[in-house]
Parts: sequence; structure tokens; C-alpha cells
Amino acid sequence: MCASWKKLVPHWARSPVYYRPPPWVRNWEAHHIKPWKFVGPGVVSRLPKHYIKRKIELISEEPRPVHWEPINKKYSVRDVTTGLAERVQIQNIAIPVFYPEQADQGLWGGEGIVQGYYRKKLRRRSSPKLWKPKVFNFFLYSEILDRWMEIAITQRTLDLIDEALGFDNYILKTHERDLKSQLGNKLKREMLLALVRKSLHPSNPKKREELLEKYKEFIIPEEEAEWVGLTIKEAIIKQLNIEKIQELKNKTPLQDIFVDELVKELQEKNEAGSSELPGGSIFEKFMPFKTPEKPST
Amino acid sequence: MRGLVACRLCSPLFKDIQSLFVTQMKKQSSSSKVNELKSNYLEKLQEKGLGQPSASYVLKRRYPMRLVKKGSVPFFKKKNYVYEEVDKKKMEKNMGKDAKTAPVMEKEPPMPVILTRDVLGLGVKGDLVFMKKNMARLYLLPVGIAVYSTPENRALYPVQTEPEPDPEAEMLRFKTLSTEKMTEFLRKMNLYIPMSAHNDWTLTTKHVRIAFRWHSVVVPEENIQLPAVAITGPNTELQPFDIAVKVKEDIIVNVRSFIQPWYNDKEEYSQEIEAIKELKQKYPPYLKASPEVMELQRERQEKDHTFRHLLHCSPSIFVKEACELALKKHFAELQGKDFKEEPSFKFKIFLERKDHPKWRKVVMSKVMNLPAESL
Repeated sequence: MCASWKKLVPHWARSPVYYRPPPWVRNWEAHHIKPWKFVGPGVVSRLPKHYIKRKIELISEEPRPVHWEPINKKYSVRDVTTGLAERVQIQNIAIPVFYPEQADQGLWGGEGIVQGYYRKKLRRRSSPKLWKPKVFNFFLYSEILDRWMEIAITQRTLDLIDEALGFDNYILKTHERDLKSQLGNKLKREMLLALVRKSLHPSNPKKREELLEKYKEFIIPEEEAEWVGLTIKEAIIKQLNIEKIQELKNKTPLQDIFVDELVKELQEKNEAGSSELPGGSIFEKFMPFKTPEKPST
Repeated sequence: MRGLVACRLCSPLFKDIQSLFVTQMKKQSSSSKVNELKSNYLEKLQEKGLGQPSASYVLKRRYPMRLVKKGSVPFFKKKNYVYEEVDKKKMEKNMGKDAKTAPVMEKEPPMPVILTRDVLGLGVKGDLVFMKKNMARLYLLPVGIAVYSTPENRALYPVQTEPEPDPEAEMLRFKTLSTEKMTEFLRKMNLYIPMSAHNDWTLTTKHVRIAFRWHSVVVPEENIQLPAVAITGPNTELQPFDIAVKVKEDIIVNVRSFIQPWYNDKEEYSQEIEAIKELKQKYPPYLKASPEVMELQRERQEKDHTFRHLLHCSPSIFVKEACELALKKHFAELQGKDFKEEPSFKFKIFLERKDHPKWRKVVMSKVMNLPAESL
């Protein structure tokens, strides 16, 4: 290849990867939240306040690191060999991870896909690589819901379940930002509602009392438990339905209004005196769709 | 030698038996020295930060990132996406090889677990046992036989110093593992005693001893006890009866036995093949069950589950035990007796997981000879 091959080949066609890895995604972008909509005209501002508080807590803190290890020190030293020891601050910046749609249908334990470059030796070029998690199907049992479930799972979730001392504890303890799956949020909602409504083992009252004492600290009022783990789209639909029902309850149908007016008119006329109405009989007035009289043949 | 039964799993000499099973007891035992070594190993892992939950891959940046002001977004270059892999399992393995105080090194670090009741081969209620992680997650924890080891649970299940007095448990408390295996083998087996179908005969201990020999079991005649009602004559109707075998002075096992008619000529045998087939359908071998048992299993239809993935263990062992227990119940009900026998350790767990879809489908498919997809 000649020396000026770079002019012939454009910059976007040189590397084997035709696109760059995605940029650093902000916390509120990853969860599809627009925090400026919580204040202002719109449905999002009318959502219940305990729900908005939970979403802000979701965004405020960073999730637990999964595919990288943070350094707990504050400062490090640079250029020790030359004798000019400088103190350099350490900032733990996360590795950007991509979570596909299949992660919402399983419990991957915070794992995802990482796209980057690697090189085996220093004098070589870096080549692109996709690091993927090992996912397999596994059966898990939940005491509160009293059922076995087949879930796509990684080795990390099994270690986290042992850390939390139980599958139910794992789902109730971990926050949404660490679960990272809609299935986990849905199970959390079911468990919290079952604990509040006391709809656990319906045929076994002894076990119901044992579990209610075991999971005492996780009980939340029912109004808040219905809104735990919902995405903003689902919450908007729920809020609109609630508002529509309230509107219909407040409204009175027109039929009732017209009947009341009719009754008033008739009462006034009976008091005044009976007389034929100019517009015809009463039934002809309120029969707009009158069929035309057929001529007798 | 008196009071002994040698099994084909054991060697014929008594001394060799002891040496074989003492080594197995060391591996399975939860002695104090082994527990100390394993707990020290786990503490060392946690000091180095290695015993924590793992991920499929752990990465590290080759080139560090630029510092970032508060509230702003970090600036990424292509070199900031160059990563290196970090192997944590190698670090755990190397730690075990170098350390002489942790000779019990496995591929995965073990998990401490407290037992809530007596378990054959593992220990007594309240014992701290170090198990492999998958064994505990699949067999012990979801069923309630074991519990995670926390200071709260250690107070709930303290170590027993004096055993509870149970007359049934005293019969079953074995001193060596050889007697455990012998009694399980004798409980599971079906004894077929070949007797002639032409001549008159009465059952004696000699016939039973020879029949046991066909099944690779050596029993002296002193330890055999026939039923009270003597069995006589050329009997082609196969009905089971129990024979008591003395394994030790305190331990007696009832072995279910049948009479197998032995024909001299093939012509007579061929004439009665149909009768034998009918009898085998009534009292079939391991993998088939009577239609009454199959109906009982069909009645246990609960919530629908779907499964595509099989666990590591093979269910053939559980299928045998399941059918035997069902048959024994069936026979006990016919004779009007009470059924008190208990299954083995692993099968108990398999039974209690009644909601597990694998048990239901695999057992029913083999018992009913139907494909699992139709269930």
C-alpha cells in the first residue's frame, strides 16, 4: 500500500469496527427518566409523590460495580522514580455496560454486555471484543409466592442469593438499580402486595404467620406497594386510568339532566292549566327519529 | 462369623470392609479438625477479598481515564475502551496450593451450613457442615433441611450433646457405614427363589440361602427366619412374602421375596408364558408400576410448569425407589398392614420437592411409559 492510502480510505472505513462503543450513559437516561418532567405541566408531575421519591433515589446513587473492581484509596503516587512524588486523585469511573432486552426477562444479577478492545501483546493492535455473560436456565423457589420459577440466571445471582440468605430476601433487599430487570421489579411488587394483603399460603395458616414475622421489616402500605418497580410508561397509563374514572364519577349523564327539566316544565303547566302545546303532543317532541307514514296501498 | 452379612459391594473379608468404609467416613465426616481447616481457608479468602460474589468476567482498564470535574461527564477516548481480563479463580487456587494449612482445597470454596435434623451420612441436628455450593442449593436449602450459618441460626439450632431417646432411631443408628449400605441394599432388592413347578417341596433356609447367592449376597442359615406359615407345593401364583434377615444382633431387615417357578421342559414353559406375563404385570420389576399406583400419580395435578433444562443428577436412582415404595404401600394395603418404612437421604429430598417439575414429569414418563412432552 502506498503511503497516501489514508486519503483514499475514509476514516470511518479504516477500523474493523464501523461504529464506536456507545458513549457514557447517564443514570437517568439508562432508566428512561427525564427529571425535568417531575416539575411542570403534565402527567408525570401528577404521579404520586412516594413514586417520584423512589425514582430520584434510583438516580442519585451509583450502582454496585459488577464487571470491575473499585479502588478504595483516595490518592495515588505518580513518578516515584524521578523523585518528584505527586499526589494524584483516584476517581472510580465505571465501565459502560449494555443491557439487552433479554435481561428484563431474567435475573442476570447486574451483569451485561461490554464492548471494548483488547490486545494480547503490547506491540500489536487492539482488536474489538464483546464480553458476554454466561446465562443458563435454573429453577428457583420463593416461599412467599409458593411456586417454582424457571429463570435465566448467572452464577452471580446464586452468590448474591446466598449473601442475602434467601431468594425472597435478595429480591426485597436489592434496589432497582442493582436488580436491573423488569422481572425482578414485578416479583418485588407481587411479594410486597402479598405481605400487605396477607394473601400468602391460603391453606396453611401456620406457615403464613411464620413468614409474616420473618419478612416484618419489608412491609409497606398498600398504596405504595402498587407503584413499586413500575416504569414511567406503565405509571402514566395507570394515572390516566385513575383520572378518567374520577372524571366519569363526577360527571352526571345528560339523560338525568333532561328528565329533571322535563319534570319541572310539566309541574308548572299542571299548575297553570292544561292546554295543548303549540309544538304538538309530548311524545312527538321527544321522538326525533320518526318514521314517515307509509301510504296505504 | 455370627451376625454378619457380606454384600457384593464389600469384600468378603471383614477386615477389608472396615478399611474401605473408614476412608469414606473421613471424607463425609464433619470432624472438628476438618472444619477448622475449612473455616480458616474461608477467612483467608475474605481477607484478600476473594470470597465475594463473582461475575462471568472481570475487566480492568489498560490506560487510566482523565480526571473529571464534579457534575460533568467523563471524556472517553478509544484507548479508554481497552480492557484486560482479571482471573479471580486462579488467585483462589494458588492460595490453596501454597498454603499447607489448607489441604482440603476444592475447585470452589465450600459453604457452611447448619442442619435442622438428622441426616444419614452427614450428621446430627445442629451440626455445621461444609458442603459444595450446588449440593446445598439444590438439595438442602430450598427444602428446609439446612439453613445458612448466621449467629441467629446458630442459637436456634444448637449442637446436641445428648441424643434424644427414640426407640426407632436406636435401631437405625449404625456404627459403621457398611451396615447402612447393607440394609439399604436388602430393603431395595426383590428376592426370587427358584423352585420346581412339577415336584412337591417345602421352603427351607437352604433354598433361601442359595437364592441369596444368586443375587450376590452371602447369608448364613442361622440369620434367616422364614415366615410362620410354611410355603409348600408347586406354587405358580406369585405372591410376595417377607423373610427376616439378621444383619446384627439388634438390626433385622425384612426382605420381600417371590417364588420363581422352574420348568424342566421348554414346551411346558412355552405353554404357560401367558400366565407368567399376567403375573409380571401384577408385580412388575423396577421401572413399571401397577395401574392403581399410576392413577394415584395422575391425581396429583397441580400448577402447570414448563421446563426445558435438566439438572446435573440422573433420576434413575429416584425412579427405582419411587416405584418400590409405591409397590410396598400397595402390598401392605392389600395385606392390611401398616407401612412405616422411610426412604433414603437423597430420595427424601426428591420426594419433598413435589412441586419440582422434573420429579413429576420424569418419574411419570418412565412409570407410565409415555413421552414427557405429552404430560
